[in-house]
Amino acid sequence: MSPLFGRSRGGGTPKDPAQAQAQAQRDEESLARMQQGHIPLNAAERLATLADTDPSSLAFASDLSVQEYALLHSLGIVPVTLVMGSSIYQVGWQGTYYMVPTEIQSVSHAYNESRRLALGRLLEETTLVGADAVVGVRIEQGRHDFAAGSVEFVAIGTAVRLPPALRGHDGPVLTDLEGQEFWQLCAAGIRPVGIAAHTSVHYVPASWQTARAMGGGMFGGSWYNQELGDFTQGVYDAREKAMTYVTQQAAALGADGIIGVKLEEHASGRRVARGGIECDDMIITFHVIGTAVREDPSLATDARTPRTILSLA
Amino acid sequence: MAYDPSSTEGVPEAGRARLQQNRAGLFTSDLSVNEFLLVRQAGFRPLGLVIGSSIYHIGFQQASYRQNQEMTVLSQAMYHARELAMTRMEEEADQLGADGVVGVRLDIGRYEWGENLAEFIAVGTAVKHHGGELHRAPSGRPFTSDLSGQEFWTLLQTGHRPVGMVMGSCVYHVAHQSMRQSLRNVGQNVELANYTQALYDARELAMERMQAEALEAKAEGIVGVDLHERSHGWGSHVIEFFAIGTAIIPAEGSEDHVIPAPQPVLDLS
Repeated sequence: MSPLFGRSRGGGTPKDPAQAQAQAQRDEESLARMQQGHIPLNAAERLATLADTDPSSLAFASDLSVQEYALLHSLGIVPVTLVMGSSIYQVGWQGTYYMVPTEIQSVSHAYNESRRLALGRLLEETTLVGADAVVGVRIEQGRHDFAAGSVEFVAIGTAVRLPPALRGHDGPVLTDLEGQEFWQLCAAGIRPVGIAAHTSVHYVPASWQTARAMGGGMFGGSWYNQELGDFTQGVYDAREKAMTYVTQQAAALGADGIIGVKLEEHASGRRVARGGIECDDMIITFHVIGTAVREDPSLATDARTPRTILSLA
Repeated sequence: MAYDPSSTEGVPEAGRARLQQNRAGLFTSDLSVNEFLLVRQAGFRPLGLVIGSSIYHIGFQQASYRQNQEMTVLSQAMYHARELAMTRMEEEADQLGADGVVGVRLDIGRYEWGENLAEFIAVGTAVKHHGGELHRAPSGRPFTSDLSGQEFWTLLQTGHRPVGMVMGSCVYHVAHQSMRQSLRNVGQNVELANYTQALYDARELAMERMQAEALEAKAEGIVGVDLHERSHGWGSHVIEFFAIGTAIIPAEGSEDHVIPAPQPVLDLS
């Protein structure tokens, strides 16, 4: 490691050599842990202190709203701490272009690995504090100037301890549901089992017909209405691939359904000259995410009929 | 376009595999928890997220500068592309053996890199009734509805059911004012009658077309009509009026149905 590294930290004041060496060792260890997909030492230690504490005497951190907290409290759901996981992943794609519709594997892979690592770390933190579930998980994409051409996912949520009746059988469960929603599902006899997500990125070259319709030639675009079959098919391919993976993940989690599916689509154009005609190829990115759920007969259901109300507010 | 329920034209291999999984019992849906629970409460179970989309090149039409007129090429493009997206979505629902599709969103995406290019997309959750009561539209097609789960539940409480989304579209060129007109009006409060008339025309055409679709579907009425004016990058004088709503019919055996009185509540939030 460069000697400059050690110096710039801690405001440049020279430290006791033994202390500095211990710090360097910790950093090395943290990095090694990260490379194995784990969380750094500092985080692990902070969380470990929370795990032993009696929850009733605990000062907790959470991003719950006041109402949400009040409801959870009355249901016996105890927030423990804010937990997070993140990962920045370098995209290896060099911007080559393709003659046939292709999945840009390296970009898809970067998104999926980054998200997997971030969620893995979130789960690890949750396990460390001895929580039963994470509610209200927000998965956000970050972008940094210092890491151009990379993707980042950050997952943040509130780890909670559940009353014994709601507790799952196999470890903590991640959901992107609010606390209220979590409880409502359980009350209806449905248990959330995890988050399913996938990204696929496809490259769709413009066919000759598309290039002509969009105005490659000297006369500008075509005057006629027409569907662009190649682009439509490309969008279908990308979307269906992402959805199929999400469905498979849910099946692997033992779910019998996915609710709250969000589809996010980005299309960008890429100007290329093919056979002397300038045209726009399409790069399409699909993010699909949802909460996997399973009907669980062991949950005590209280069948409530909804009532129609007239809000006076 | 003729409707062929058995067609899976355009659905890629991966998509067929997904629908197969959905048929095997694993559902997907974009309903929120509340919507999901209410749809179940209403006696339906979700089967799968169904989607139809089409990327469409919208043609070109020259409008005469000083004339109010419908841009028929553009109107047709909007109709045709939406129809393609909706029909593909219905085909997927049919593949799943659904009674209908709830929570349909019909969006148009435009890309800054592709002029005259638009993506039409229809997404919704295919549902089937627990009891096997047939809830399809009279035409045999799966019903479609853009009502949320909450609205869907409430509608069923009133003894009605949706038959399908109906829409009307009209792309219209609003004539420019002549130099003489603008000069005459300088500094005056006057109604710009030709503008008012143009917007009236366009709106009425869109509404009339939507109503015609509802009549054809043998509906009793249309709820949740959304009427908006949009411009899709055709310049400031070319606008689209788009009317969309859910056509409904009385549910079977609902003649003596009583609508429960709502309970007034005061929300403390």
